Amino acid sequence: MFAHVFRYRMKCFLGDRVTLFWTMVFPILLSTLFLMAFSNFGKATSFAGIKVAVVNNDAYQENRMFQETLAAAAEKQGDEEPLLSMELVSLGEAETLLDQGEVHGIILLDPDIKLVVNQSGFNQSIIKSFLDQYQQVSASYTSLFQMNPGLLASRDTLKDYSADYDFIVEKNPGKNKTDITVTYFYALLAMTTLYGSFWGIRAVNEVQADQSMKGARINLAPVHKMKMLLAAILAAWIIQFVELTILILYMSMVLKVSFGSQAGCILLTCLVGSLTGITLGTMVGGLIKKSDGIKTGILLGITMTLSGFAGLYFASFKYVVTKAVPVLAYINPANLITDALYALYYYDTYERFTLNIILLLAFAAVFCLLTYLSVRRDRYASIPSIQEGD
Amino acid sequence: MPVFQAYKRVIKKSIPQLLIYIIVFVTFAAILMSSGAPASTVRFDDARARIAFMDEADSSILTEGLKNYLLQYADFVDVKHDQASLQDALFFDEVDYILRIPAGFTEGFLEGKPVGLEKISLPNSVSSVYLDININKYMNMARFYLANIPGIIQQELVDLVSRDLSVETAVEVRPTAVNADAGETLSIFYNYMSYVLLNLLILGVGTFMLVFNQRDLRRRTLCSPVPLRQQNMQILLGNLIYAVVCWIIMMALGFVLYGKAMPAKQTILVALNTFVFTFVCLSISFLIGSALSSRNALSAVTNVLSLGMCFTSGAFVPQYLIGEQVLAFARILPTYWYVKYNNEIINMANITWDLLKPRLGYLGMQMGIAVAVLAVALVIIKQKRQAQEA
Repeated sequence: MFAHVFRYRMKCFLGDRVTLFWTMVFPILLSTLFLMAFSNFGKATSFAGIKVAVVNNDAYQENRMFQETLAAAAEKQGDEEPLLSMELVSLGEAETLLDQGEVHGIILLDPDIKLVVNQSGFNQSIIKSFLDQYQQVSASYTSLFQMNPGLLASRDTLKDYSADYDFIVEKNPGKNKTDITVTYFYALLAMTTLYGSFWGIRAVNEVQADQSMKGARINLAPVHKMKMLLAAILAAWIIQFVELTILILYMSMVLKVSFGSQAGCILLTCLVGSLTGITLGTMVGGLIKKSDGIKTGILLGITMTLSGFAGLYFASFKYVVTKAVPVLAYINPANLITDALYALYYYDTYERFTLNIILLLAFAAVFCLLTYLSVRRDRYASIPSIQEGD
Repeated sequence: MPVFQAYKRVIKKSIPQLLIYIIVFVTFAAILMSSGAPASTVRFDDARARIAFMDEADSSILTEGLKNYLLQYADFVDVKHDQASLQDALFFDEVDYILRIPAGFTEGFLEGKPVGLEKISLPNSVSSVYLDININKYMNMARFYLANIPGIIQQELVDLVSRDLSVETAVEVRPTAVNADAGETLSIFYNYMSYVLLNLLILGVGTFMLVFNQRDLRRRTLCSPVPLRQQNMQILLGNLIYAVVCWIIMMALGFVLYGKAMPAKQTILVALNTFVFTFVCLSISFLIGSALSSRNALSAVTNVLSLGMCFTSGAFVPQYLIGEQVLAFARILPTYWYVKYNNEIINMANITWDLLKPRLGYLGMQMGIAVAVLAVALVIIKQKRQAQEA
C-alpha cells in the first residue's frame, strides 16, 4: 500500500508546475542573475594601477630626479601591474581629466610637490603615500648628512637606500580562494533548500481532511494516516533532493561556482537540508490551520528572513550576525546550510561541517515531532468549508 | 465611475502585498543611511584599511613604532588570533589585511638578516597594495638608518624614522556637488527604487487586469450601459493615478530620508528620471497584465522580470561590478538607462546644459522602450479580443 500511495504522491507532485517552478526553475534563474551581477567583481575590486595626470610645467621639466622616480613607478615589474599609469599633460587638460573621472589625481609641481584630487579614497591615498615617500627619502638623506657630515665626503661608504626591498611575505588564507561572492550562491542554495517547505505544505494539506478536498477523501481510505504522510514526505524529499542536485550541478558546471571538492559531503548537506526544509513545511502546515495562501505567505516570510540572515542579500551579514549573536547562527537552518558549504569550501578541518549537519538533523527531528503532534488523531465532526488552493 | 471604483477596490485589497515591498525598502534605506556617515569634502583623509595586527614576538620598540605609524593608515580590528577567526574575518570582509610579525623578527632585522613580515589579504586588492607600500616604506627607512649609523639603538632608530615619515605632501581637494560617499548611498537608494517601482506597478496594475479580464466578468462589463470607450478611459485614469501615487510615495521617501544630502538641482533631475521610469513600469505592467491569465503566473513573471532587470542593469550591485557582455545586453532594458542616469547625475560635480544633454537621451531611451512595450501590449489585446470574438 505504501508503494502505491508513494507512487501517486510522486505523480501528483511532479505535475505541480507552480511548486516545481519556485523550487527549481526560479533558483536556477536567480543564480544565473547572481553570476551576471558579479561577473566583474574580481576585476573591479583588485588593484589595476592608478591613473594620474602629471602637469608638464617648468618645475617638472627641471626636476630630473622626480621624473625618474615617476617613470620607475609607471614601469611594469614582472607580471604585476605597475603602480601608476601616468599622462603628461597641461594643467587645464589635467583638470578636465580629473573632472571626467579619467584620472584619480593630478600631480602638480608648484614648485613643491602637490596632489590634487576630488575625493578621498584608496587610490588617491596610494598616490599620496607614493609622493610622501619621495619627500621622506630626501628628508632621510638630509638628516643623515647632518648627523654625519663625513658620509657626504666619502660617498662609497654610504649604504644606499633602496625602496624596493620587499619585507612582506604573502600567505594563503584558506583552502580555496577568498571570494565572498560564493556565499551568495551558498545562501541561495540554502534558500532553495528551505523552499522545500512548499512541498511540505502540500504533503500535509493532502492528508488533512480540513485542508483540502483530497485530504478529506484520503482520510476516508482505510490506510493509516501516518503512512500516507510518510509516503508524501518521502516523495517530496526525493524530488527536492534531485532538484537541489540539479541546481548544484548547474551552479558548478555552467556557472563555475566553486564548491570545493568534497562531492559526497556537499550531497549530504543537500540531503539533510532538504529533509529539514520539507519538515519545516509539514510543521507549519500542521500547526497553522489556515488557508494555503496564508501558510505559503508565512513560510515565504520565514524562508526569506532566515536566508537573509544567512547572507542572501549581503554576504557579510551572515558574519556580522554570527559574531554579534552567535546563537542566531545556530538556530537558523539556512545559516547552517550556508555555513556547512562554506566550511567545506574554506576550511581544512571537518569539525564545523559536522556540527552544522548534526544541528540540521536535530532541526529535522524537532520539526518531525511537531508535525506528528499536530497531525495525529485529528477527527472532524464536520468540515464546513474546504477551499481548494489551486 | 464604476470601473474606476472597482480599480480602487482591487488596489485596496492588494495593499498588504504591496506594503511588503515598501516596508522592505524603507528598512533597507534605514540600514543604508546608518552605515554611511557623510564625510566632509574639503579635507583630504588618508584612506584607512582594516588590519589585524599580530605580534608574535613580544612587542619590541621597533614593532611598536611600526604599529604606531600604521595607525595613520589603518584601523586595527580586534580579531581572535586563532586560524578560523582570522580566516572568517578576511573572508567576510571584516579585515582587509592580516599582518603577522614572526617571532625573532626584530632581532633578525637588527642583525641585518633577511627577515619578512607575513601578510594574508585578498590577493591583489587595492587596500593590500596600499598597506604594502606603507609597511615597506617604514621598514626600508629603518634599514637605511641601521646600515648607515653603526651602533644605533632601537629607540633612536624609531625616532628618526617617525620624524622623516611625518613629512607629508600637500593635497588639494576639488569640491564636488555631492561627496563621493553620500553620492554612492544616494545612487544605491535610487537605483534600488527601480525594483520597488517595478514590483508595485506590475503587482498593482497586473492584479487589476487579471481581475477585470476574467472572462465572465469581462462579458458582464461589456454588456453594461457604460460605453467601452468610457470604461477604457476609467481604466486609464486608474492606471495613471495609481502610477503617480506610487511615484509620489517613492519621492516622499527619498525626500524624507535624503532631502538634505542632495542639492535641489539633482533632486529635480532624479525625480524626473523616476517619473519617466514609473511610466515605463506602467507600460510593462500593462503588457504583463494583458498577456497573463493566472495569479501564479503573475507572481512568477513579476519576480523573474523585476529581479532579472535589476540584477543585470546594476540596480542592486553597482554597474562597474557587472561584466561588459552583461551590460551590453542590459542596454535593451529600461532599468539600465534609469540606473546609468542616476549614477551620472548624482555624482556630477557641476551640472551644465552640455553635460545634461546626453543624459536626457537616457530618458529618451526609457520612453522609447515604454512605447515599444505598449505597442506590443496593444497588439496582444487586439489579438485576444479577435480570438474571443471568433
